[in-house]
Amino acid sequence: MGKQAELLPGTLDLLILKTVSLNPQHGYGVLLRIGQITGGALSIEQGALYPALHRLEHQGLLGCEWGTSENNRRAKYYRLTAAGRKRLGEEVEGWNRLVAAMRAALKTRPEEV
Amino acid sequence: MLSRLRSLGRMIFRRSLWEQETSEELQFHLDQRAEDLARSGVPRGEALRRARLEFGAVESYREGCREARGARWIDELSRNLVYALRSMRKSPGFAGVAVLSLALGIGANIAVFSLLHRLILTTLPVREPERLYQVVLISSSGSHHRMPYPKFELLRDNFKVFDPLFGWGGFRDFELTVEDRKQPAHVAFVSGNYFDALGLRPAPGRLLTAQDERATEIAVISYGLWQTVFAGDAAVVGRSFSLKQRALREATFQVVGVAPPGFFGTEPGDSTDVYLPVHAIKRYDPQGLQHRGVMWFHIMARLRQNVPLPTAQAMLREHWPKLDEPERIQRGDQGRPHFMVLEEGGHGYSPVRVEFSGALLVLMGLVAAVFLIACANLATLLFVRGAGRAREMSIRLALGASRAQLLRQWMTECLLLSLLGGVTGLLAARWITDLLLYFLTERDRPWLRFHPNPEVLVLGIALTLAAGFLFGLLPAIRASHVNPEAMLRAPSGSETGRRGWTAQAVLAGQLAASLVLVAGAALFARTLWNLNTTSGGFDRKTTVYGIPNFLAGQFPQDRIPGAMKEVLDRLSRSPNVIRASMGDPPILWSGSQWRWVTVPGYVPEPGEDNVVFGTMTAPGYFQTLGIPMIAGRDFEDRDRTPRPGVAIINEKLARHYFQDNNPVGRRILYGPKMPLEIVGVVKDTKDASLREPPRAVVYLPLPADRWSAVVARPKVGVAPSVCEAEIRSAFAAAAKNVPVQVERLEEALQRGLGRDRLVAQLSAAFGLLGIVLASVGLYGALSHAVSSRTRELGIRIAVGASAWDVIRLVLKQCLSVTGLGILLGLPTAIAGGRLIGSLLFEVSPTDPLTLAISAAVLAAAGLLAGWWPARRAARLDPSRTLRCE
Repeated sequence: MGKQAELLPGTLDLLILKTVSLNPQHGYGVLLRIGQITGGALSIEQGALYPALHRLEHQGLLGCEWGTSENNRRAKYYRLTAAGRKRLGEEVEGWNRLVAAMRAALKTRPEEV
Repeated sequence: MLSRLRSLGRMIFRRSLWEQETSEELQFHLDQRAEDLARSGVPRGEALRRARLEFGAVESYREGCREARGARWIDELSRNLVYALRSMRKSPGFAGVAVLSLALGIGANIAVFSLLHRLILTTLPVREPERLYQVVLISSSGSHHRMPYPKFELLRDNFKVFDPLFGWGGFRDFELTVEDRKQPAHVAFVSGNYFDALGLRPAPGRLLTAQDERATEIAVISYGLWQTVFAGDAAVVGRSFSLKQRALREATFQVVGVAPPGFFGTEPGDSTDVYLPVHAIKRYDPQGLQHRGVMWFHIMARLRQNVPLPTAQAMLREHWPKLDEPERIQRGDQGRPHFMVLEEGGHGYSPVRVEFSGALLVLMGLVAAVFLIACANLATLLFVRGAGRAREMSIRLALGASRAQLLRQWMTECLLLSLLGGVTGLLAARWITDLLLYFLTERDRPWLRFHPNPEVLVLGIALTLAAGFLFGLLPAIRASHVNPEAMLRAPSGSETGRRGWTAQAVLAGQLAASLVLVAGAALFARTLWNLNTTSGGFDRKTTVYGIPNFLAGQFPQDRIPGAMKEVLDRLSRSPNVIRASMGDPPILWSGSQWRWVTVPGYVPEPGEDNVVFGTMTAPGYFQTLGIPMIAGRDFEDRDRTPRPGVAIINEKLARHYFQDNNPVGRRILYGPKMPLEIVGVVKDTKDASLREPPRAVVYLPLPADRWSAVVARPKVGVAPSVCEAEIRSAFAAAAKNVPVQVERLEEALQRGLGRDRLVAQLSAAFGLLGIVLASVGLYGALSHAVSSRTRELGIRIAVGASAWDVIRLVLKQCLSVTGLGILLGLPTAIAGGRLIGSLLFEVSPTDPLTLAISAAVLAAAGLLAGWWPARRAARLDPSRTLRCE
C-alpha cells in the first residue's frame, strides 16, 4: 500500500453509506470496497467498522438481512434504507461544500488578501 | 425515531440472539480475512494471527457495537432495577410505608380530581356546548336559575337575539310504573325545541320537536331507562307507562323515542329518566304553566349567528325590566326591577356543583397537601437511609463507580417506589371516589363514579413522576456526594450530630404542611361546632314537629281543621308537653312567601327593596319554639280570621322601620292590599339557614280553617322522643290512617349541615394523616441521629451526664425542627385560611386560639415522636458503646 491518510472524524459513516449504496454488502465486503474505491489511500482499523455499522443500523439508515456469501457462508448483509439514501445525499452535498471551501481557502495567494 | 425504538426493543427482549449474531458477524469477518490472506500466500497459522491483528481488539469493538445500540443504558437500568428490588426486599418496612403513603396521596388526588373534572370541567355531550348560555334571573332575593314558566314565553316572544331559546323543569318526586315494575323517576318537562337546540339524535324512535310542545301524552325516555326498565326492547316505541307524582295524580304516556346514550339531561350529576313536553305538566296541575310565583323552569339559549354575547346581555338588561314591569306592579312589587343575565351554560345546571364545588376545591387543596407531605416524609426517610448507606456508597465510589452512576441508581430505586405507589393509587382511586361519594350524597350517582379518562390518567402519571423526583432527588444528590476517604476512615457510630440543612429543611417543610392541615381541620371542626351550638334564636334541641299527609290518608278536606284542633288539644293535655302549636319551623320555611311591605311614615331610600318574609302561625307558636316576645301579645284564637288583620313582627323589622318607637298598635301594608295592625314584637330567629343572619319577618295568624305543621316542645326532663310518640298517637286518635312525618327539629337542621360535616370529617382525617406521617418522619430522623451519635453520647454518659441531660440533648434537636416547621407553617396556614373563609362560620381564618391549638398539637406530636429515640439514647450503656469498635 502507498501513502495512507488518517480518516477525518465523521467520514467513516459517509464512506459506509456510499459503499452500501452501490449494492448490499456484508461488513468485510464494505471494508474491501472502501479499500478498493479509495485506492487503499485511507487507513482504518478493521474492527472500528462494526460499531459504525451498528450505529447506522440503530439510526435506521441501514437495514440488514442474513444472506449467503460467495463461499457459501451465512453473512449479515447491510443495505441502504430510504432514510439512509436521504442522509447520504445530504452528507455528500455537505462534504462537497466543505471541500470546495477548503480548496478555495488553500489556493489563496498573498496578493489576493 | 421509530427505528431506534424498534432497535432498542430488540436489545431488551432479544438480547441473546443479538449477541450470538454479532459474534457470528465478527467471526465471519476474521475468517474471510484469514482466507484472503492465505490465498495471497501467507501460511495458514500466520494468516489467522494477521487477521486478528488487523482487526484490533475484538472485545472492545463488540462493546462498541452494544453501545451504538444503547445497550449500555439498558444494561445499567436492568442492573439498577435488580438492585432496587433487592434493596426493597431487604427493608420491606420502608418500602411498605413508601408505597402505601404514595398510593394514598396519589389515589386521593386522582379521586378528588376526577370528581372535580366531572362536576366542573366536563361539558354536556351536545352540539357546540361552548355556545350554550343559561338565562339567570336576578331579583332582590338573589340570583335564580329557575323561574316561573310565563317568563320563558315572555322572553321567547320578545327577544330575537336568541336562536333558539329553550328550557326544562326537572322534578324528582315521580314514580314510574311499567307493567308491574315501579321505580322512582326524575322527570323533565321540556320545551318542544329542547332536543333540536341541543343537537341530539334519537337512539331508536324519534325525539320531541317544536310541533310536540303542546302534546300531553307522549314521552322520550333516557337510554338508561330503556336498557333497564324496558330491557332494551327493540319495539319500545309505542309502549306506554304511567307516572305518579307524590302519590297524588297519575297519568300514562306513550314512548315515542329514546334519547342517545351518554346524554343524561341538562342537570349533570342528576340523570333525567323521562322527558315530557312542557304542556304535559297540565295533567298534574292544570294551572302549571300559569303560576307566576313558582320557580321551576330553567331557561337556556344559543345566540343568533353574529350576535356577540355583550350585545345580547345589553339588550336583556335594557328591555327585560320594561317587559316585566306590568306584572311587577300587579304584584305590588315596589322594589328594584329584576334583571335577566346570561351565564355560561355548556356545563349544564347542577345543584350538586353549586353545593359541593367549594367543598371539593378545599378537598383538592387538602389532598394536594397530603401528597406533598407524603413526598416530604419519604424524602426524610431517604435522607436517613442515605446516611445509613453512606459506607456502601463510599465503597462503591472507592471501587470506581462514578457519582452519576450512583445518582442514577438511587433515582431508579425512588422511581420504582413511586411507580408502585402510583399504580396502587390509580387502582385505589375507584374506591376512594366511592367512599367520597358515600359521604357527599345520600343518593347513588352513577354519573359521578370514577371513570378513568385521559386527563385523570395524565394526572396520575404526572403525580407519580413528580413524586419520584420530589422525594428522591435531594437525598440522592446528598447520598452520592459522600467523601469516601473520610467516611471509610472514621469508625461507625461516631458521626457528628450535624446533618445537612437540606434534610432539616425538608423535615421542617413537612411539619409546616402538617400544621396547615391541622389548622384547617381545627377551623372546620370549630365551624361545625358553632353551627351545632348556635341557637338560631329558637329552641332547636328539643322542639319536635310533625307534618301530616292528609291526601295520602284520603282524609276528607272539610274535616281537617277539626282533626288538627283535636291533635293540638290532645297534645296540650299531655303531661309531657309544655306547649303545642302550628306553623312552619324556622329554617324549614319555603322561601317563596316574601312580599313588599309599606310602612306609613317610613320613606324608603332610593333602590331599597322593602322585602319581608311572611309565615303563618297559630297561637302558642312562639312559646313552643322558645322565641321570646319583646312587646305586645301573642296571637289569640279570635285573630284566626279568614283574612288576617293583625301581625307580629320580628325585632329586625321593628328596628328598621320604627327605629326606637314602639311599633305595637301601628299599621303596615303587607303586599299590595293587606293592611295589618301590629300586635306584638318577637326576637329575631335565623330562618333561611343557620349561617345567614336573621331577615325581617312578618308573622300572620293562621286562619282557623287552615292548617300547618304541628310543633311541640316537651317539658324539661322529658325526652324529645316521648314528645314524638305523643304527636304520633294524637294523630292516630284524631285522624286515623293519616301518615305523619315526625322528627326533632334538630334532625332536620343536621341534614342541612351535611356538607359542613363532610368537610370537617375529611379535613380531620387528612390532618391526622399529616400528623402521623410527620411523626414517622421525625421519629426516623431522630432515631438515626441517635444511632449515629452513640459514641459521643456514650462518652457524655461516661463522664457523668445524667439521663435527663441526654434526653434534653435529643429533644432539643427535635424541638428546633418542630419550631422551624411551626414558624414556616403559621403564615401558610393564615394565607390558606383566607381561601376557605366562605366555608367557615363564626370563626375567623386567623383565629389566634385555633392557630395556637394547632401549633400545640404539632409540638406535642413532635415531642412524642422524639421521646422514644431520646429514651433510647438515655439508656445507652457507655461501657458497651465505647467497646464496640
